[in-house]
Amino acid sequence: MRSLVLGAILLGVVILGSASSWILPLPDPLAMEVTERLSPPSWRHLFGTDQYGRDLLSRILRGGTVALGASVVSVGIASLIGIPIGFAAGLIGGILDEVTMRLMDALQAFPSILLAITIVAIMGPGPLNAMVAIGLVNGPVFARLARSVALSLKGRDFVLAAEALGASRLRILRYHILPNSLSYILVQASIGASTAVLAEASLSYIGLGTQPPNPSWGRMLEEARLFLDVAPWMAIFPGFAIFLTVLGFNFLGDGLRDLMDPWRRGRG
Amino acid sequence: MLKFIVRRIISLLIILWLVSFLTFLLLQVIPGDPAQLILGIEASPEALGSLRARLGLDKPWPLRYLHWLAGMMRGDMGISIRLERPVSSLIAERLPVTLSLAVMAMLIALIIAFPAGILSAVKWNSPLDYFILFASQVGIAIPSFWIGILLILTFSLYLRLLPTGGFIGWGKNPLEALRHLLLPATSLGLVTAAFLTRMLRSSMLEVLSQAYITMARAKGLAKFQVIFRHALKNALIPVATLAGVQIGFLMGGSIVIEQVFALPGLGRLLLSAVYTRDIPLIQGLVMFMTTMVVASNLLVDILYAYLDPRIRFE
Repeated sequence: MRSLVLGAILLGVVILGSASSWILPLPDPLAMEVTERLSPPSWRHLFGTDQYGRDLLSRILRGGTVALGASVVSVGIASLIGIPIGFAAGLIGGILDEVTMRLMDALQAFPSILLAITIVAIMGPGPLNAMVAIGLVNGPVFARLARSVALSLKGRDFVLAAEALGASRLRILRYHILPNSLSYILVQASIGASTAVLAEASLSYIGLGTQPPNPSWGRMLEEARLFLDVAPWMAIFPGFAIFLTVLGFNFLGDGLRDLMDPWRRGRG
Repeated sequence: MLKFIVRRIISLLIILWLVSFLTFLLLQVIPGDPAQLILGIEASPEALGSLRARLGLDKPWPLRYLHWLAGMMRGDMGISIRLERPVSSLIAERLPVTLSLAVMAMLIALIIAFPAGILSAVKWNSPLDYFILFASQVGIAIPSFWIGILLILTFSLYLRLLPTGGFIGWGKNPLEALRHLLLPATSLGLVTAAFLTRMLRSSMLEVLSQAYITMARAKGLAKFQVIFRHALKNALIPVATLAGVQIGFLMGGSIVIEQVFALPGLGRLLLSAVYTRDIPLIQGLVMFMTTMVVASNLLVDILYAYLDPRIRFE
């Protein structure tokens, strides 16, 4: 329970923060103020400013939108592609199962960031393409999960009973398999969101995600690397924002898993 | 054991074949004509045509794939469009940097994870256990490139102990090479250490609750002996699997870390290939790095089949 609450609080802060960047009268995250460039944290600029005099607090809050967007879009894509494949492989079985699973093996053999870089190289750099790439890379994880849940449910009495009553495959999927696998999928979605935030930050750091002048935490760290000796504050806050968001999703995932599986509760 | 190894090698070859097919196919859909990309938009149609023929672009893709695959098997990975040098020699040049980085990161991870994971399990539910759990939770959530930046800030810019980046070959000056790798390897290794610590802790806890451990304690064996001779050996199996998975993570993580520390390794080569759309170089690098990961996973598999006879005879 503790991790669930902690995760919800952390993510609540991140969501409120990025929402406030659109609502509160903060400085424009893109507005350059040359006289204020590289100024350390002060009352006027709580987190300081960057090399163009842009307000870092505004940029970090706006960057939250990118991070949350990345988690939603890529988890959405990964589950929309992975889950149907996994269910099909698990329920139909046979040659279909064999072929799709070998394909998933091959996709998972690539180091995930390497595959994401390759996909972005094909589609061209950009925030949306980076999110799609991360989603495609995470698809096999969801496929594997859906398949194993489907396999374990397939032999259960209530599914056999439904089958004996003449229920169609689709009906069994819709009313028996899907509802019973939602909790597993939710846990995986939470973990997937945390890896997506990290992956988006990495891709933006190496220049393949969000493009300047738009703010993204990874991109901001890359800019900070160039001014590390004169403006260390530029490197502190964006990294901390990534950390808190990832921590939030991780806690949420742990909490959800404990909630479903009381035996694991308290064993960390 | 031999049967086990042969079976594993066959499945590895199937995976690598699929990987090569996917790599090749993915990079075929890139918009734009490579010949045009090399010669620029003002090139004459004749020049374009002859370059296309030289690159084999006038043939259909299944033929090109077979040609590429046959080359790969002979160690010929094609020629980089931009650098105009064989991909294999470019890789051979950069490999030592990435390899040293990954090996050092894994060593650092193991050096941290072993004591931390064992202590945490042995002192279960104590303040020390909670501290280690908390630290590993933090380690998993911190992006490695941010750790890198913070390390540069602390050890290079404030304390002025270590260089901020770049690399000097092992052959030229081993001590300097080590100094240049210390911070990048730590940034990568800390994250892996966090994962391994958690795995070692939970697998130790699992083993320590087994009857044979209680038996060993009951017959009067020293606690130290029970932990290291009876428990640790069995607790290592899931840890070895995870360490294998982490090799892929280290390989991927090194791409970003090499960028942070300006290390001339495979990752930087890949990024420059991506920026300049140097397809043969991207293909070669993706294939090579993935093969390395898959091969080292195989080694881990064999290692733990050796550790645990149950796996061999499954």
